[in-house]
Amino acid sequence: MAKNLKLKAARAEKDMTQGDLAAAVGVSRQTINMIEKGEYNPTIRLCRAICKTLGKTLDELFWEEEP
Amino acid sequence: MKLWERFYSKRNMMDEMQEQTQLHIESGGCWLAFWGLLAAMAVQGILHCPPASMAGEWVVFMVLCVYMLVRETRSGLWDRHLKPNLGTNLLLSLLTGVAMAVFGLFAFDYWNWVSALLTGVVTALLVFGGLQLGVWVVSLRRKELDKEEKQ
Repeated sequence: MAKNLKLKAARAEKDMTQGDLAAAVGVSRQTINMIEKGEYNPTIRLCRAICKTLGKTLDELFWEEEP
Repeated sequence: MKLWERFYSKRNMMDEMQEQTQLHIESGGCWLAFWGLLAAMAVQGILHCPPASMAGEWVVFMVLCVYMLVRETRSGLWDRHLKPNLGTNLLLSLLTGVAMAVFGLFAFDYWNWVSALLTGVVTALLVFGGLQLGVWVVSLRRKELDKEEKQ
């Protein structure tokens, strides 16, 4: 799975650390780290929580353009 | 806060990624127990241990098998990789029969190849029947679940 740079950028835009985002959505920092590295495929429930926290849509953070 | 709440939480304290990792580890442990128990019983058989000495392993192994069989059948699940068809079932039962015949050669006294061969043939037939029955029951359950999901 490819790295999720959009998530990393959106988090940085909000000036949040991985720990801040993790605490806001109720998961561990390791989980956020693995999502950003593309090593964990989150459930739609977690994707929605992340989107709400960062003020983005699912498409903006999790939609991958075809190469 | 109650005293026991200092040590135990009713709420699952893992997040979804940790939960998935935990389930993956537990699944590995389950298969390790399955093959470990089977190997232990096979070794005891080859060493001609009395059946009573492997009763514990046998009971745990059978409980594990029955539990997985019932839960997976109720959920309409078959195997991840093996296709539920006649050819696969024939191949699997043949392999199991051969394995049991080879085991029989070592486990039975005096290299009794007739008993070993009979054990292999009977095992292959039983396994084939069991697999065919399993495929049929799982397909029925799958249809039932599909119907429920439509409603």
